[in-house]
Amino acid sequence: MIKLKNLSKEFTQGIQSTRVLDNINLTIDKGEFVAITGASGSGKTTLMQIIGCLDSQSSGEYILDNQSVKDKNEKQLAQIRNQVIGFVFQNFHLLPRLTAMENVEIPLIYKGIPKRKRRQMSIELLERLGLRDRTDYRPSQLSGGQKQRVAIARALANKPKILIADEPTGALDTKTSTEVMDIFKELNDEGLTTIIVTHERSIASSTNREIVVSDGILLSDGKKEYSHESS
Amino acid sequence: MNPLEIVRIAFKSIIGHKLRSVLTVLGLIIGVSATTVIIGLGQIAENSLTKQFLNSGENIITINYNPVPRQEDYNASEIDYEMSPTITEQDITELRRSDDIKTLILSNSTTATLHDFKNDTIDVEILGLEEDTHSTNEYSIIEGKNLTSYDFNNIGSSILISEDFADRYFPDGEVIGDIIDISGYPMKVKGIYKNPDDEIVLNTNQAILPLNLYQNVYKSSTIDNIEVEAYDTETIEKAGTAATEVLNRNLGEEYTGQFEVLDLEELQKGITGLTTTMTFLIGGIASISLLVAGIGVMNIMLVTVTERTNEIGIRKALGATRRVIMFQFLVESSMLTLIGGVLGIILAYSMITILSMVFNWAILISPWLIVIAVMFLVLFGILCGILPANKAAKLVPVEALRRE
Repeated sequence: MIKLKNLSKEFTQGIQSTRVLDNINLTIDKGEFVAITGASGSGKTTLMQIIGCLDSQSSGEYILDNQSVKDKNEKQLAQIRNQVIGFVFQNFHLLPRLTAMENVEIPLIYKGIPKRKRRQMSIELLERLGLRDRTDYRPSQLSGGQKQRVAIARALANKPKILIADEPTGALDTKTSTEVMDIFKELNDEGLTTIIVTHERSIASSTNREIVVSDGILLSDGKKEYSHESS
Repeated sequence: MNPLEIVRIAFKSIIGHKLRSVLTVLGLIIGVSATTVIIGLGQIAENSLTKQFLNSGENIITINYNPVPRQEDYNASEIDYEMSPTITEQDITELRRSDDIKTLILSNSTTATLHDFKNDTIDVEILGLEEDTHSTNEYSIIEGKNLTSYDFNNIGSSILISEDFADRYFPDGEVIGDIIDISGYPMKVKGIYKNPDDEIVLNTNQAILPLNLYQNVYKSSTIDNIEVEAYDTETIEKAGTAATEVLNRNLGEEYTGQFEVLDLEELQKGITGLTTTMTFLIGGIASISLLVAGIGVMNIMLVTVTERTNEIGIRKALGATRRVIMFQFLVESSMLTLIGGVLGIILAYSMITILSMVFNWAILISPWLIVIAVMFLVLFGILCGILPANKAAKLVPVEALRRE
């Protein structure tokens, strides 16, 4: 599903250039539950952004779904972000003036789903995440856990192939973190490829595969032998 | 995706920032209404000036004596501007015979100096009118009675005075039936007429005397001013030419100049030129406020883009293309200008309507002007939005998401 070949990323500022990712080789198969961890500044977020087509590599190759991402134009990349990848962010990134339902509808609008159908899909998604009675609430009226569940609903709106979560529990307390992780596990069980970027060991260890990034290189890539159910 | 969805998103955003949108729109309302009112008033001014000078629609043409000779090699020092011929009984008889002329409008005028109750002097314009002339002018009597055929056909002492003159001369008390001494003759006020609104008159203190009375008082048997009425608009020119031919044929040797028809086309051009210049001048000043309002829109859109960097990042991460983002902000800015503009036009036309009602002007609302204005406003909004929208569209999603 995801294949990175000798992928590097450099940021140039003036004459100075910093290599944030150095020769990354990585393959993530369909249905995997992966954690990318590392200290802050290790390059894990950049790696996630490249995988999520939010950013592009400086060199090397990224093959998503058997297609090289390098060949895609701006419109095609937008379409990938819209329909192939679902994002969940640390700070939820919900639009404050829209209701929970309207936030979930955003990816559906960009896909071109008509209003009535969109509304129904949005409500179904929120219901599935236990927010049936919160559809008309604005983000400011929701708790952290509820906000993250709205964000997950939004990420799932267009039935993506890959779910990418960037520090999804960073702004949540332990109890809610566990709840949110349970949702991810559940989604993974249903076959959704899930990638979680985190610096928390406990969160990383609840996945099936921990990829550790340090100073732009892959430090370790540990596939657990045991299944996530027993962890 | 459906463009209507973008319009909906843009509208929501405008509603979401009520105060900011209201203030931006307010600037536009002021700019648009100021410009529209000026242009509208310019049109009204042109129309009413044209009507006054050209008596349009009344088939009436004024004949003037031009002291400058027709020959081009005249000596300028020989022109006697003081010497102005009068129209004689002979002229009138001949003119009345012409087939092209429907009516002759004859009048005499002079200025008399009177003293009011405070013994201040008032200069009063004394008009001597024939019955035909009097009825053509359609004076509206606000007090007392109008002059009748009897007054015109006999030498009596009944006169009409203008409202302003009445107010000045008789600040209180009964006016009708009162006696005024004009140029040594006692005259009885029969009625008071309203000064016409749509006429440029230098002196609004006026008295109308039947021509017989006027000629009796001022010892003249001639006529100073002449206008001819044609049977219809097409024959105005013909009637004018017929009249000048008669008058010039009877003109004495001592007069170097000649009678001429007021050149309508020249005058029309002159009026249009004058009002257009004025409209452009004042409109130019007014449009500065429109420009300022436009800069306001651009400014607020730039602020909006900066402030909503995060939103743009989220939208891009969720599948919005560069074009969609660009379109969203363009729609937002053109919506702002459209709302402000339409309200501005409505305000401007209500102002013009009220002014017209107060000053008794004819209103001119050209639907084309509105269509052009609305199209211009949308274009203006897009123009003001291009810079901010482009800035928004070019944002890299990663950069946009990083900022909070």
